[in-house]
Amino acid sequence: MTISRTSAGPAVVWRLLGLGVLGVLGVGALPARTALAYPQWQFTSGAARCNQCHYDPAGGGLITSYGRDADGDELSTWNGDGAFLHGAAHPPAWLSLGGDFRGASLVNAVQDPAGPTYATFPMQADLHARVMLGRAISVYATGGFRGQTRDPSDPVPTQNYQPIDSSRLISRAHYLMWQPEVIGPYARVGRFFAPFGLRLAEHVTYVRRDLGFDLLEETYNVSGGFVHEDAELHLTAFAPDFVRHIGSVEKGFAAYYERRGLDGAGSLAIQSRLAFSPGITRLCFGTVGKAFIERARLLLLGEIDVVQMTFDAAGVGDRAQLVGAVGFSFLPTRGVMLTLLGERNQTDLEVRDSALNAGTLLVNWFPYAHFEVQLMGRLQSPSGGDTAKTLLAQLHYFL
Amino acid sequence: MAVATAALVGGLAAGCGLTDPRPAAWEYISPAIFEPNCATSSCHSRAAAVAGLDFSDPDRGYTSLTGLWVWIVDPNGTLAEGCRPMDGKVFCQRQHRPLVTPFDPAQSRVVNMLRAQSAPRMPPDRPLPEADIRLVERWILNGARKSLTVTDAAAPRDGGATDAEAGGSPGPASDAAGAGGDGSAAPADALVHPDAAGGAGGAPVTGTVDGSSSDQAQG
Repeated sequence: MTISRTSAGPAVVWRLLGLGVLGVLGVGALPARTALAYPQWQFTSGAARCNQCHYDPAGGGLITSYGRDADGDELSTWNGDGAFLHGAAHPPAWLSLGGDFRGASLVNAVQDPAGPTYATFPMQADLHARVMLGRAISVYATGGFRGQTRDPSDPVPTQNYQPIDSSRLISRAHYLMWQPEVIGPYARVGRFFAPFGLRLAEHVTYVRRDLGFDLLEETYNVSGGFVHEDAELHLTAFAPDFVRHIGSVEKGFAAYYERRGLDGAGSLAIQSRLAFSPGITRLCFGTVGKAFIERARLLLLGEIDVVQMTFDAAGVGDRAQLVGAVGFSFLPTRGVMLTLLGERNQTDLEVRDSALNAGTLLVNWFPYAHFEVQLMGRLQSPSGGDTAKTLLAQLHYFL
Repeated sequence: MAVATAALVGGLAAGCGLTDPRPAAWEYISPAIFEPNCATSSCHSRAAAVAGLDFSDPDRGYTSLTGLWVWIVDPNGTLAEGCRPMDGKVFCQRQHRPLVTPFDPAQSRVVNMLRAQSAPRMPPDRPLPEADIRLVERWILNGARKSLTVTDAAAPRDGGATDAEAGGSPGPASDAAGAGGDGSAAPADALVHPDAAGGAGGAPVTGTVDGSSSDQAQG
């Protein structure tokens, strides 16, 4: 079914649909498992800026018409139509809609007395909507179901603390943005991840999980900066989720500046984040780098951060933490991406055996527009402890 | 880049030491170890509080470890004592064995979980580094107090001197003395239910073991 964007009737329908979806998503309608961005596409797909393929200035979430075209024409093994609903419907230019759905199977072995864990579960069910309000203002919202280990139907009010909200509906991101042009300055206010780091899709990576960017830890922010072809800057003041108190309790500031070079094939970024939470202040300095070697179809990528931890309690003193990831993505043929990452999270720089080391192999296959199959093998080795082994397979479809 | 390189090199160089200069204090352990590893959004965060445990900040984390209360079926329970009827049964709030047993890491369930010894592995997705577990054990061995004391300041460095003895910053002397003033543990450290006042008397502060290793703790 094709809906004409020129007829008055469908226009009203689209307007009502857009506003309705935004309203539903804004109060937390459907979940969210991961922030969806593939930083591996930067430079390897011909795009140097995240916001060539995403509406978010820093990448992730709903993709643009450019991104949809690239998915069908360049990134998938057997092409297809990357447009919304495979091109079956054409929302008006002021409305963008999308969705992400993931199912996964997992084997996790952590030398637990009960043996390995096997699980098959819905990993993500998100809907996205973006509505343009005039030339420079837009409203964006994502909504879905959040994962929950505890059974919310437990009738017994057990133990000390109760979940503060039993609803599994959540809006992981929603914001109002001013952006006159894709290239140039922007400002936005709302809930999202402050632009920082490699922004890998896998929230379990240490540079996400241990730096304040784990699952559902999106903060409420006032953010701004600029995006140019050869550089971008993002400055963010962030605060905890004051609506439902889900996620991080940190508040503070984050800054990220990226400079691109190597004839559009590489970038180097510096970043800093100051976060206050009960009992501790974290000051993080880091750098992020990428370089694409086209002849070898190889993207080198890495991030390293040092976090100075200052504790409120007298006598604890200042400590320093190291978190980093380095690796490469290899794109042997169209639609296939292999990523190998080595990671380290050292709780304290002065204590050698306070570290977690991880090795991760990601195999992403994009067989046809809108579809993705991913296999992830991950080994995590804590100093002096048992190695955890994880194998995850997931199927991803986006609208 | 220079900062990161210097930090990495410095870290590798400094990381060659096998001693642990970190204080075995909850004020360190909570934000540096428990919160990032346990208080994830779908686990022991404020939002999820799985198993009634919330490690999202030091206060809530300490209560979760030391003051565990549960609702259990008690046919003899009465409304007067705070019991509640539910689904045709009477539930009463009772203090449960806490996850830490002060001065005894080997009998502390949280340590057994961190080591996956006759208990489910925690965190379930990634074991903690050995040094972090040892630090938790040291904290328990020193009495699992909520506030830093002089004796918690650090593990022995070769010669056995603690950081405090070696010139590190000691905690408030009043903490070491115990707020009880009579040689008993400070009420601030007592097992306190979030909705209840008072608490059990603690073990004497005198006689705590300073900076002992986990091997000693495990016996």
